[in-house]
Amino acid sequence: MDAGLEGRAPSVVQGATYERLAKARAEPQNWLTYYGAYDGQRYSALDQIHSGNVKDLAVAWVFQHPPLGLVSTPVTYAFEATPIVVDGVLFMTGPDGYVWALDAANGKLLWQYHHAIPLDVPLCCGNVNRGVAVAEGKVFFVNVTGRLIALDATTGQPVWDKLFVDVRAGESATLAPLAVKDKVLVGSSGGEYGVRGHLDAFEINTGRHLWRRYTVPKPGEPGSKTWAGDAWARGGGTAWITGTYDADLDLVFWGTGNPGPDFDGSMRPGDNLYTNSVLALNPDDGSLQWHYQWTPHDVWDYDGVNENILFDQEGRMYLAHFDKNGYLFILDRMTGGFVSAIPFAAPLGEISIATPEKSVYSGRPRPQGRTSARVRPARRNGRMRLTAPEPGCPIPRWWSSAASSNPRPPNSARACRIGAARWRTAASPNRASS
Amino acid sequence: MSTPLFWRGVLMTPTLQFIALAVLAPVLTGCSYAGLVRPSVLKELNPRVAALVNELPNVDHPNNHLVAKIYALGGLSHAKAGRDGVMRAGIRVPKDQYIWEPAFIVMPHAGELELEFDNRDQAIHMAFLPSNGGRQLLYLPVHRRGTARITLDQPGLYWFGCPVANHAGRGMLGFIWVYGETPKEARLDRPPQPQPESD
Ligand SMILES: [Cu+2]
Repeated sequence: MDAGLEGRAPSVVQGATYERLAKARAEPQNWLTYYGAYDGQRYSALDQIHSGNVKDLAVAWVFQHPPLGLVSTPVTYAFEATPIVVDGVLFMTGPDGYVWALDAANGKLLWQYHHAIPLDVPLCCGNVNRGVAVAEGKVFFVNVTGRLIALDATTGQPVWDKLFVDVRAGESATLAPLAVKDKVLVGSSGGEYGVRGHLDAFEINTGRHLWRRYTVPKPGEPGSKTWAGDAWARGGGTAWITGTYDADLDLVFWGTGNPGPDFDGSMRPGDNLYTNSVLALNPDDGSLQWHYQWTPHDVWDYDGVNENILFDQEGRMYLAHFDKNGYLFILDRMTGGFVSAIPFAAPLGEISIATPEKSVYSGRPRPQGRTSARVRPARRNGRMRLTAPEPGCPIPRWWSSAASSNPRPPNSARACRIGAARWRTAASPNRASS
Repeated sequence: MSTPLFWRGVLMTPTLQFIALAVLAPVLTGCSYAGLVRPSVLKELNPRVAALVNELPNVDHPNNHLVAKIYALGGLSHAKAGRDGVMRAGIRVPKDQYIWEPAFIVMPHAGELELEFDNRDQAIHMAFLPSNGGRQLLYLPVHRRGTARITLDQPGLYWFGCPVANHAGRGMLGFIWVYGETPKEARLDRPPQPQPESD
């Protein structure tokens, strides 16, 4: 298995300082962060490949790693990682605790690290991993049992290792960490297992734990009135996708997932902050500067963790977010103020959108009449139909409540008239799993 | 009350006859069987389990019903921690059985485990083992011994096996159970939650 293993990579990550990561766009030959740059745009300035020659692309090399022996949830064993490239070395994770350094030119394995994963780890969704972060000579990754592990980027040997989730509570971890300044940030997975989502920050060189920010407030904390009883303790809101960062504002923007339990809102009346939200956090202490909730009281598992893309226009600083509830949201990223919400796919229900005139949560006026997402379950042949109260919209069957059947995407994503825009899309729903 | 009466009384109650048998059992049959009279084991004596156990001897003769041996046949052993903190256990490969003996190793907590393998078989075997950093492969030629040291830092269930010619499928699949709790600093800040199957 280790045949041909060099055991060593060129020490390219030594020079991956914060200053360089902050200007990652200036190095189009590299891909230094999860999104290519802190702003989440995933834009490459390379122009060698274009619409005229893309058809001529051919495979240069393949690196394959099949599952070995028994693995947890083999049916979901899949590659979901974004490769990180630093000066000719490609860093990549696989499912089940694997990390590789490859020669980007020929795919040759330079080093491999594998963290032993127990078979009985509770995986709510998938045995997957979304990749590494690099900084200061180290490669950071999480394994599914929730360890943040710092490897020496040259040798692949562990430098430090910190546990930040509790598998006994149903938590796991799958995201690519985010290295910001002298910190590395991670978030938890397991939103379908009755957990309480959180983000954690560690010191890059020592692994010292700096702060934890829960995404669901406990009684007495701001936002706690959007929960009833003790539902907050299993409220979900896991932070399983890497955040984006604005160095000028010194704010990290992090998405949170669905509330728990996901399809049944009866046990958690209220807006369920801060699930399905974006949190703007101070990376130094994790303090919450502002938030915006894409789907209050989600009963569709919209899981609003998707990236928050930062862009500027006419001197204003914006944040864009395509949510699984079918809307593209634009916010002012300094204040979290609402700018617009444009439907780009058939919404599966009536969403209460917070605008300057109406808000679903304190600080701004309440909306007139409460229009939180509703579900009208109609059982037919053991399946639950989730119906959209919006007249004229398609009524897609989403997930079946029958455990044995596969997730069902909408039959078709037909155009649906809401607001000004009318869009048609053939996009399939995001099957990525937390 | 007199002593003879007392003893006569004891021997006349079926419950205490049972206890006497339980005390005698280890002397007669070896210590492992004594555990079978524990309440937790007796509680499991339901028809489903009895039917399973009755079937096991039938399937465990290669070429009778199956080619494979039963994975659990090699039994269980607890690794013992040495003065250096390293836990140790031995595993044999008996002749013509295609099993690990024991097949289950219990680590009382996460850490380093040294496994000494003894291949008493006339076939070549290998031990493919889980460990942080990378899996380990220990070559076990005929009638040879070998030692592997592995590190497991997370409580849970791990597997090991012989990758030679599907020996794992024939019975050479073993398990390592690492006991332990999640450290306090990694637990969620919330009231204790009910756990499935917990008492
Ligand atoms: Cu073998």
